[in-house]
Order: sequence, then structure tokens, then C-alpha cells
Amino acid sequence: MRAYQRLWRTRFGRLTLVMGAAALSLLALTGLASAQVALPEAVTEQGDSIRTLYFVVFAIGVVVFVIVEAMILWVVFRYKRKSDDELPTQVAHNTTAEVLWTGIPTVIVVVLFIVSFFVLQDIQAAADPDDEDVVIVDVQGRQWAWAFSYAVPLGTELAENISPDLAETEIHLEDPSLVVPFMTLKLGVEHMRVVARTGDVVTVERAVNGTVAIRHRAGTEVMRVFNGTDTVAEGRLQAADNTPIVTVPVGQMIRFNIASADVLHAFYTPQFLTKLDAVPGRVQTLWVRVTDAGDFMSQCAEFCGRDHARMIYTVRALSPADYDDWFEDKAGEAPAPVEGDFGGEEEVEQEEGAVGNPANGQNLFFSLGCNVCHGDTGEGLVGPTIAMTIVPLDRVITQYREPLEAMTEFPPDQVSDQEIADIYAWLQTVPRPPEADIIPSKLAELIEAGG
Amino acid sequence: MATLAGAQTSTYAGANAWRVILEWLTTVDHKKIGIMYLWTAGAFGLVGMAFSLVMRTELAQTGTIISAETYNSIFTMHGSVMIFLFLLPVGAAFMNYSMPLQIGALDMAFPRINALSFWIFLFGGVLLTLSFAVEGGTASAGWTAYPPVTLDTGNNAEPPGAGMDMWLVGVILLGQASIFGSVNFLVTIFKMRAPGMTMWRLPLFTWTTLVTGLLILLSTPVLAAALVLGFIDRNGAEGAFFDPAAGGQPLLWQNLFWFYSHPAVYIMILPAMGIVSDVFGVFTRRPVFGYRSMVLALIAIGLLGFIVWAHHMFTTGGVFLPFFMGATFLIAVPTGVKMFNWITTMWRGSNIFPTAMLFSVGFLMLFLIGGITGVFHAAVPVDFALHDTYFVVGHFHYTMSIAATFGFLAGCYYWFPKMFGKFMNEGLGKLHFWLLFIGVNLVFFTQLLLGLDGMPRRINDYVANPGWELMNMLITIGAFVSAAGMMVFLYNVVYSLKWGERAGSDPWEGTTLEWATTSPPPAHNFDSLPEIRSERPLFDLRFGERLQDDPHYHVNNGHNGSNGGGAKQPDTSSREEG
Ligand code: HEM
Ligand SMILES: [Cu+2]
Ligand SMILES: [Cu+2]
Repeated sequence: MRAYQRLWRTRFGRLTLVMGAAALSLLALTGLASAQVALPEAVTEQGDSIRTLYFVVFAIGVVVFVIVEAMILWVVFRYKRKSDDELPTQVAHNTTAEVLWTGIPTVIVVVLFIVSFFVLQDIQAAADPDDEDVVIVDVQGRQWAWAFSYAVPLGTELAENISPDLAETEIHLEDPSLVVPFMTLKLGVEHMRVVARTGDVVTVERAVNGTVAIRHRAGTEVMRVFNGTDTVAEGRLQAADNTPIVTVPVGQMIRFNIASADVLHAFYTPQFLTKLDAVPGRVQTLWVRVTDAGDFMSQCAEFCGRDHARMIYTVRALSPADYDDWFEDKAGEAPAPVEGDFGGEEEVEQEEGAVGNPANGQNLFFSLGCNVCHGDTGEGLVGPTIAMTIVPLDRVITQYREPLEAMTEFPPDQVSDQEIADIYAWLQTVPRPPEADIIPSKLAELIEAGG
Repeated sequence: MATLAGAQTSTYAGANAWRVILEWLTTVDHKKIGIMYLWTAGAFGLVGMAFSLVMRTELAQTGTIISAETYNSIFTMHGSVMIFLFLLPVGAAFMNYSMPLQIGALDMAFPRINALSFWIFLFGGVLLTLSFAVEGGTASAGWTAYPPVTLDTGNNAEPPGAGMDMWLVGVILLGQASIFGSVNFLVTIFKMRAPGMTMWRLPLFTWTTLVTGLLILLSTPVLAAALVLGFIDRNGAEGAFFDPAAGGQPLLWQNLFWFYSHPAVYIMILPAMGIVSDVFGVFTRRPVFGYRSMVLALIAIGLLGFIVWAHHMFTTGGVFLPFFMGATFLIAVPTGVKMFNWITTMWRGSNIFPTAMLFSVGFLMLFLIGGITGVFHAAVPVDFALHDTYFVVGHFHYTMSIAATFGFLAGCYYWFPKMFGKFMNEGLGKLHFWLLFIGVNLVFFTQLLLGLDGMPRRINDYVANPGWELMNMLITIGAFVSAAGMMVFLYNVVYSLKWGERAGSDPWEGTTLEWATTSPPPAHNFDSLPEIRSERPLFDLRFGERLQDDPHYHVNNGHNGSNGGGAKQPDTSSREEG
């Protein structure tokens, strides 16, 4: 108490005490505020370390902010000119003070550097190219879509050197006894490893821009937000449940091989607390171990042209059991080597729900009043011909939700996806009028132009 | 180049308008060139602000009002205009106007190159602006113009049109203008100081001009190289610098670009720092605390500024992270030193707070937040989360955009009486300050929070979620409040030019030489100069006698040495040969 009183007696002492108290209450406030002013809860181990580091920086930042801000306010409010001929002290430097305010910040940044360095090491330690137990997902950004393909976690050595001319070559793995996991392709641009399983079809492609793209799995999944046609320019963002999904397991190390087909993009999942650019001509790897199951909204984070804002995707993390089920399903699908150039458009997939009930569809077609514009057999009136439409189902669903041209909007509570599939199924059964009578559909044109 | 700067500068009665116009068009007087820079840059600044309001209107709510193409063009031009046509030239304006006066020179070392620099700048600016009229519109890949989205690589879905070339050429010209300017500043400072004006007696604004000049001179050629390569890539058949399809390296552009653009953020902020240093010195009646450490910190910032460029590229996967992390952390130290020196200058000062001083204090507060958020980015793992989100947008606006703008506004209020012989209105000035201060904090602090929550930058629409919608609305409101503040400023300028209270030669009790001549100064700047014995010759003149027995005052004075250095005054005739 005595020491305290002695301190309180000098102006400097009072200041120190006031500042100290302020700093302490601030630290408490920081604790409270950090719940609000924080990065999202991490869903990966690596993200967790980053978030911890964030709090360290945040705490130091808040303390520095409060102290310096208090100093500014103090000098502004405390020292005002009282008379016109007042002359203040002309002290122009003070070695102790200057050493202190150079030294203390130096110590702070050195500490921050060390802490950050170790966190960096920690998250980079996740990368282990020889780990065979890694789930490998190829990510390809493209204007303006994402393509995800999944590696099969067992494989065999295929060849030492495959010449660049192997474009479009299919390699069939036949010997089930070989379990050497990786094959190395030397394609001049990058060394790349492919994991494949006996029986897989591996398609080596050389995309126009020099990126080596390797499709190596049964049922390569190509999904996208938009097909890059005008349909999106004025549109709204995709509903969260209608984005491409990349599915990964919880608990296992995941390696994303990130590439680009055209310009720069960035793979960014806010809840991973990290991002990595997709750079054409390079394949970069991002390693994470997901800790929580769930759907995580994600988005391209490097400007990539017109529809950059629409490159939204979802990371779906499944529990190991769910993931295995999902994977079995995928692996069971027929191997479909993808054709055409990698940078171009892919056929839109028709996924679950493609089988509808035509009878129900016919009823809906009339009860919803589709016939008013499209004619009783979809032959076209005010609206275009839609009998036996070539527009894929998922695009048709989008058309109901966010109509292109002058069609009425049908939200899901009016007509469900399944019901649309029913209508779609019925439309495939009605005959298409002769070419001359067709009322052209903008959508179909776009699909044709794009696919 | 017909009219001599030495001829009549003021318009005598009966002078016809054409003569005045011709006089301005052909002037080589640094003061007139400075004022032309100021008006032009100010006009571009308003255009840039209008663009920001378009963006904020679009982003206030989800859904779109303008097309994505338009939004991309607007945000690109907002950044390009604000940086290349507002901040850089406003700095040039003050450096042109005030620096020669502060060192007691008659003009710049190369008055005609100085004029050339202005006209090249104007031409480059017009070229950028004209790109709105060409097919395909302006450049629309951000002011950073990262390839290959800027190139026609064969698989870029929408290769930009001629607007991109105009942008490249325009920025080359603007760079050339800055290089001419910087050579002029450097030679002027080294060679044209009045007798007695040693290096350690240079006003701090002049010191910042010197360091800024060096930064411009060393970094801008690298940008020019990048721009030329980009132009070749777009137009040359064999060019393959950044196009990966042709064997180029997109990351090369980023390295070259930031090798310029990181120093460039200091090119923008240092003159603003110089202004507030001078302002603090005047309105506290104190010597700027730690004058020498201020200068050393400046130089340290300048040097470190050249080795941190890749901190803009942490997520590209092509950077040696620890080095750039370390260098970036380090740069916080000299920045902190400056902050403490400014605060200590006010410590036990005899402070008054006219608008120029308010903006300087505002500068400190904004720059503080900018500096602290910079440390978040320096910590590489944290930057992995924050890069390319609105957190970056908040960070760089707090530093080089809005803090620099506050510094320059302080400069406007401070030097307006010198330039035009009239005060700016203080009441309007305070209203301006408060509107702007509240508005920009609402904008940029909310942007920090939005970025933490993961909203990426450069998007014209966003996923509907309550937090983002609320924050975006707040930002938009803040943007309009700020714009209202700037309208008050605009009115104040017009009002004060017409009805402003007359100001004498030294209305603020200034300390540096520009206050030793009339307001506005004559074409030849000075009729006579006071003796220069410290970095505050006018202060010495005014208070030297009273302070004779103050030991600190003497220490300070002796400290600066008594050996008169500096170059001889060039004689006026050499200039009139032009
Ligand atoms: C209240 C005034 C301002 C508002 C509301 C504002 C708003 C914005 C917005 C919305 C963006 C786009 C962010 C994105 O989508 O990436 C932006 C970017 C930018 N602003 Fe401002 N801004 C203001 C003032 C300034 C000032 C004064 C400067 C510089 C002097 C400036 C320089 C920049 C730069 C360099 C960019 C980056 C452009 C790019 O990404 O290419 N802004 N600003
Ligand atoms: Cu993008
Ligand atoms: Cu930087």
C-alpha cells in the first residue's frame, strides 16, 4: 500500500497506474470482445492453430491499440494552449524513452515472429507426400466453376516416364496384386503423382494452357456453379444447397491438389482459416485434417473475371462411415473417361432425381399452368418448345428458381425438385414438333453453345 | 515554354482570360505546377469517390443492380484512380509546392522537366479515363491487374479489350511522370538549399520528400518494366512473360508489381507523414520530438519497404515465407517510433487544434489501426485466413488510403492560406472533419469485421446471411456519410477562395521557410531569407530570444550544428534562359 501511495504521488506514477489499470481492464474487455471480433470457429486441426495464433496477435494488438490511443487522447485533452504567449518545454529528445519505444516493439515483433514461425511449421508439418493414408482430392478452378476429382487410395506403379504425347491415353491397371501407390508422370511442366487402383481408368490430359491434368478415377466428378454463359450475368447467387460439393472425410489427412484451367483462382474455405491460390501452370497442395462434420460454405478468393463472385462451393465433411458409403457409391459408378479439352465445358451431369414419375409430371404440368405458355405438349407458344428438351435437369431446376427470360419464378415450396424431375421425365416422353415449328429456347441454345 | 516564371504571376486588371490560361498552360513555376497537380488530383479523387459510392450502392444489399462487368470495371477504376491519379499526384502537388519553399529555393532544379512531368501525368490520367469509351470498357482486373485474366491466353473466357492496353500505357506514362518528378525533388533538395540549410535542418516534410523521391526513383522503373512486358504479352506475337500457356509465369508479374507497389504505399503515405510532422511542430510550439530518430525511422522504412513485397503473395504458394514474414514484422518498429514521436511532440505542448491539427490527430488514430491490422497480415498463418478478404480492404484503407487522405487534408487546411492568401473556413472544416472521421471508421472498421467473417473482396454480390447483410449496409451508410463530409470540404474550398478571411504571410506562426514570404509567394519565392540555425528558422526568429536561457532550446540548436552547409543559391538568370 505504501509503495502504491508513493507511486501515486508523482505525476509519472499516477500515469503509470492509470495506464496499468486501463491495460488490465482492456485485457478483460479483449477477452469478451474476442468472442465477437474473431475468425470463424475452425473445423480443421490446422485452422485451430491459426485461430490460436490469431488470438495472440489480437490480444497484443488490442493492448497496443488501447495504450497508444489513450496516449493520443491524453495529450490532446490534457495539453492545451492557455495563453497566447505560452511557451512549452523545448525538450526534443529523451534517449531512455526512445530506446524504450524502439526496444519494446522490437521485442514484441520478435516474439510474434517466433510464435508465428512455429505455427507455420506446425501447419506445414501436415504435408507428407509419402503418406499413403491421405485422401487426395484434385481441385481445379476454372472460369467460373470448380471441378473436383477424387483419387482412389490404392494404386500401382504404372510407368516411370510417360511422354507428353500421352494426352488422352487411357491406362488400364490390370494386376490386382500390385499395391505400389504412386506413379510419377514427367510431363515437362510438373512432376505429378497419380494414385490409381487396379481396374481404374486413368486419363492423362494435357490442357491447352499447359497445365497437366490427370483424370484418374471412376466417376470423376465435374461440378460447376455456372456454365459460363450469359445466364449468370444478371442472376443471383446460387442457393447454398445448389453449389458444387467437394466431399471429404473427418479425421483423415486430406491433400487438395489445387490447379487452374485458365486464370488465377483461390481455394478458400473460411472455416478452414486458410486459402491457397490456384495458379495456372502449377499444382499446389493444401493439407488439412478436418475435425468436424458439416457443410462449409466456400468461395473463390482470387479475382478471376466476370463471375468471380459466383464461384461458390461447399466442402462437405462426412464422418468416416458416411464417407465410406458415399465413396463406395461413387466408385461403383461406371468409369467414364472424360473427353474433350479440359478447359472447356463438360457435359452437365444429371444426378439423383433424374428419374421422375411422368404421370405425376403431366398432372403438375397442367396444374402449375406450364401449358399456358409452353403449349399442352410442350410444343411451344409464347414460351419456347420444351418437349424432349436437351437442357439438363439441374439447369431446368435452376430455371424454375431463377428464371432466365420472362418465365414465372417457382420457389421450392410451390414445386419441389422431385416434382420438377417428374415434369422433366414427362417432357422426355412427349414428341418434339418438326424442326420448322420449333420455338427456339434461349436456354437450349446456351447449353448447345456451351456443351 | 514561352512565358517565364519570373513574369507577372498575378493577373493585373484588364489581363484577358486567355493570357491567364496561357500563362498556366506554359508555366514552369513549381508553385503553379503544384497547384495544378492539386486541382487535377482533387478532381480525380472526387471521381474515385463517386466510383466507391457506386460500389457501395451495389453492395448495400444482396442481389445486383449493375452487371458484374460494370462492377468489375468500377472497382478497378476506383482503385486505379485513387492510387495513380489521386494519392500519388496529391503527394506530388505538395512536394512541388512546399518543398522548394521549405528549403529556401527559387524553384525546382529542372523547372521545365517539372512542367513536363505534370503534363505527362495529365495525359496518362486522361488516357485511363478515356478507356470508359472504348469497346469492352475499362480495364477490369483490379488495380493490381494480375495476369492471366488480363491476357488473351486462348482460354481466358473474356479477355479484356483495348481498355486494358490503355490502362497499361496510361500507368507507364504516370510512372514516367513520377520518375521525372522524383529526380527533380532529389536534385533540388541536394543542390538548391539556401545557405545554412544543412541536411539536419531540413523540415521533416522535406525529408519525407527526399525519401519518397528515392523510393520512386528506385521502384518505378521496375513497374514500368512489368507494364511493358504485360503490353508485349497482350500485343506481341511472341511475347510470353506472364501467359502460362506460352511458357510464361503469372507469378512473375506479382513479384514485379509488388516490388513497385509496396514501396508505392510508402510513396503515398510518407508525404502525408511529413505534413503531419510539420503540423504538429507548428501547433504545439514544440520541436518535433526526436527529429533525428524521425529521419532515421523514415530511412529505415524506406529500406525495409524494398524487401517486404512478397507479403502480398503469401497465399500464392510461390514465396519463401519466413523471410518476408520477418521483414514485414520489422517494419512495424520504425513505424511505431514515428507514432511515439508524434505523440510526444504534443506531450506537454502548448497545443491548439485548428482543422489542420484535427486532421493530423485523426491521421494518428487511423494510421494506428492500419498499423496494427498490418501486423495481423504479417503473421503468415493469420494472413492465410485474411488475405483477399475485406480485412485487407479495411487494412489498406486505414493506412495508405484514408490515413494518407487525412494527412493530405491536413496539408490542404495548413497550406491553403499560403497558396491563396486566404484561410479556409474553420467551422466548415470541423464539420468536414467529424463527418469524415465518423464515416470512414464506420466503413473501414466494419470492413475489418466483415473480412474476419470471411467475405472475399472484389465480389459484386454475396451470399445472403444476416451478419453480412447488416455489415454491408453499415458500410454503405458510412460511405455516404464520408461523401457528405467531402461535399462540405468541396463547398469550403469554393467558399474560402471567394470569401475566405485574408491570411498574412505567416498566419499559423509557422516554423519553416515557406512562412517567411508573402501569401501567395512571389514568382521568385523570396525577397529575403532569415538566418537558418535550426530546422525551425522562423521559430528561432520569433521565440529565440525568450528561450535563450532554456537549456533544452540551446541543446537543440547546438545539436543541429552551426557549420552552414547547403548549396549556393542558383542565380535567377539561369532560370530565365529557358
Ligand atoms: C469512404 C471512401 C471509400 C470507400 C467507401 C471505399 C470503398 C472501397 C471498396 C468497396 C473497394 C472494393 C473492395 C473490393 O471489392 O475488393 C475499395 C477498393 C479500393 N480502394 Fe477504396 N474506398 C474509399 C476511399 C478510398 C481512398 C481514399 C482510396 C485511396 C486514396 C482508396 C483506394 C482503394 C484501393 C487501392 C482499392 C483496391 C482496388 C482494387 O482492388 O483494385 N479508397 N474501396
Ligand atoms: Cu475467382
Ligand atoms: Cu505491402
